[in-house]
Amino acid sequence: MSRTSDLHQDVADQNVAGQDVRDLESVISTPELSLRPTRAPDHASENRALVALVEAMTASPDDILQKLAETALDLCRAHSAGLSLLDGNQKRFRWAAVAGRWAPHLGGGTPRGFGPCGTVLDRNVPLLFSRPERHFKYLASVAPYIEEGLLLPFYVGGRSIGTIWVIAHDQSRRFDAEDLRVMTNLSHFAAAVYAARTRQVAVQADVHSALATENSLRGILQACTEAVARHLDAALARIWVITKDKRVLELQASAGMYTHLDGAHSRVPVGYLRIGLIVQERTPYVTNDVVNDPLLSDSDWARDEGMVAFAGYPLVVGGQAIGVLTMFSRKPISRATAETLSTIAGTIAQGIRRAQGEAALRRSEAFLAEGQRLSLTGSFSWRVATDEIMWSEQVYRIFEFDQSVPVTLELIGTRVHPEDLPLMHEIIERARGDGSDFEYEHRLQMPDHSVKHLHIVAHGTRDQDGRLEYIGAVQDVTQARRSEEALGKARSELAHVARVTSLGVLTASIAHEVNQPLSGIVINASTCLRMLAADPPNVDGARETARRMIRDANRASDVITRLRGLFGKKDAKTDSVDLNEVARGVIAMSMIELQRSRVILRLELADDLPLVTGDRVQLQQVILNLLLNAADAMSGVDDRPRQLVIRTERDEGDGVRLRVQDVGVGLEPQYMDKLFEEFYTTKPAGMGIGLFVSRSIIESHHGRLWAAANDGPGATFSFVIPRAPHNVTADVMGNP
Amino acid sequence: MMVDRSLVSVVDDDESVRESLPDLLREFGFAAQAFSSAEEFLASDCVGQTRCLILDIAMPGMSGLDLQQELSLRRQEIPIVFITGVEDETVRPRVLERGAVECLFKPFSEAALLRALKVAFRVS
Repeated sequence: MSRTSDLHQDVADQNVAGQDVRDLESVISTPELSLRPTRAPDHASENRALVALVEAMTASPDDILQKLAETALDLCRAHSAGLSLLDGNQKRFRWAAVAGRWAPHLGGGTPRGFGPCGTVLDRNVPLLFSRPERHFKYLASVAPYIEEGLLLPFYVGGRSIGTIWVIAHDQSRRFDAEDLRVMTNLSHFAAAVYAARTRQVAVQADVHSALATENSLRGILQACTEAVARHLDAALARIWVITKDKRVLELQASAGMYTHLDGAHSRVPVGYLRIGLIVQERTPYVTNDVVNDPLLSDSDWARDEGMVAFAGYPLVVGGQAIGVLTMFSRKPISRATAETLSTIAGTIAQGIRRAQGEAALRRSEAFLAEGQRLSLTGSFSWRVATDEIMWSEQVYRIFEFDQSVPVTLELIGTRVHPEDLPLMHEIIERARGDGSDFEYEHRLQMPDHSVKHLHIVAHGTRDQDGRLEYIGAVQDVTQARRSEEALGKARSELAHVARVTSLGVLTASIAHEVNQPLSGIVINASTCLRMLAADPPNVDGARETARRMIRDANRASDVITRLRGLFGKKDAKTDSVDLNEVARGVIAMSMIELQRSRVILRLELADDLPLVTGDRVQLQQVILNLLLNAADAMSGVDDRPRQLVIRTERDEGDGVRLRVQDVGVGLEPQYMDKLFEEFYTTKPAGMGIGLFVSRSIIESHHGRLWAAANDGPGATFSFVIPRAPHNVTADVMGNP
Repeated sequence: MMVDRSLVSVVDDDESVRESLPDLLREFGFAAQAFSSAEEFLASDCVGQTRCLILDIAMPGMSGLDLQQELSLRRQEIPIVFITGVEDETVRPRVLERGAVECLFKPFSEAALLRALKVAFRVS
């Protein structure tokens, strides 16, 4: 017995007890391969077998190694064939695939340091062993024994991986140079298969881990592109996701040579460029001739960067393309890599859909909660038979109960305002009876004796067993009720103010307007009588004064008609209104007031003013209010004429503008925002209603009312309301 | 007094008064002149010749009361008969206190106007 290597010491020691331990070299008979008569190569069978292997690789990658073993068995007409792979810790070979008579030994193996496989890897050449159990005694226990074994190493990327082997268990089969050639091809194939499989497993593992650990869609997709760049030799890996309107692809992740997401291809319309076509046609595209594909990129870039290959896979879920996964590579893309991309494209697509679904769910839950909080609306359900009641968080907040408290009708009853309890009981009993929908309002009396107003709407449904359940909403309308009360109060105050002021103004203006022509009539009548009584009678003069009387009487009649027109309409009406006419009416009405305030009024009314649609009386109220405000603002002005300008004009847009400009105290910038608020006033006796109401009137006319400080002293209040739809101007309406 | 053709000036922004009242005053035997505003009257050469002023109270710009004050400041003591279309009972005592001869509410009768004119010319 001779031991040539210390490496084998430990195992050799085990063999000391045995007899006839042969020298390692004596069990290696590789040179005989070339001396034996050889059969002719059967290229046809070999090609068929390789094609079948490639197909098996894509169809069932998990048992590709077994297929490889069977192919070796077949092509070499061996009795057994298999692959041995080194363990992760490099200490043992594991028989990862075994075909033929040794098939039952699948999963067995040999030590790295002492066995045929180890020797083959050490020497990195194919070796033919004859009766190797004569040296490696432990193999004697593996049946059937090895008459001859041909072993070839395979390496991936310079790293030793394992061996591929064929065995003859008796002398009926002796391996030759043709078997060595076939096995050499298979070992190369095995290396490629192994590398591809490893990459595939690694990239899939990374993709799955990204889906499991990353929180955001962006994070998931970025980790996926990084996995592709790392494991699949991609120079650039990217993912685009389609927008909601399904028209544009947005770059969501990029790894490799570029990691930015902006730039030329950050948004690509579906159907445009190669990636847009891949999505539109839901068809993958792989090329190993990037430079000559004009739809991919500009060929200068590809040439400068040495790009050779491109692969793009649509991300398809439920028959819909929701994005695209692409890679550029400086090496040709193998079929195995393409298949890997195809697999992870499917995984990524599912991941996107799930992440989007989760995000949408989170968003809609958040929306719902926020919506309930903002609208002070909660939801509830009530199973009538069992009186089980479920409340949303917001209902708890409205009732001011802790969320841990179980809700019962009795509990609700403790909060309901005593005066509204009978109403609640009645509603509940009716609902129990007929299951009809209900809607009502009641009050709550809170422990601090404050009162809340609730609006409740509920819809009755029945489950498949016919049990009645109500789903409903509870809205806290306290604020609205209080506003209504305040508004109601304001309205009645306003009505009172309007009655008091307009009665005074109205009486004065009616008196003034009517008395003018009446005095003309009386004077003319006196003159007329005197002219007729003269000797000789002045008939021509009398005729002239009589004519004047008729004219003045008509004037008085017109005044009455106009006043009736101004005040006769009580309800808001929409007419075609001439703002000039309304302004003139208001001025006539308030002339006394203006004169008493020593206001010098200048009218600048546009001739060709379009009509507006609106309520004449309301618009009159607004103008009157602006006018009296302007007069008030100037009441303390003594160092300059109290000039008030009322101007009407076409607005640049399709509207009519009226401005009231004064030279009064002006506006305090810090109170500009408050000007139009209810109950805001700067006047000692003011109620702060005028501008608030004016603005709401103008807004109900689809217009705007605003204030601005003048360049000089004073302020200008303006409003714009849209012109009436028809192209009529004041002239057509027969304006006085 | 009715033959001396004394000048009675009318100041009123209302056209029908300006047209009718001078004719009636001429029938009474006065010379008459009408003005549409206080400013116009002040700017005319009639101020010094006017023996009586029939003056509207409510007018744009300078009111009748403003004109009364202005004349008083100028020491132009012209008897004034106010006429007004606004039935404000507080106006009459106010203007009378400030030296007006009379305050007539429109529409006023011929008799009332004559009475006022008589007082005015007695005062002057």
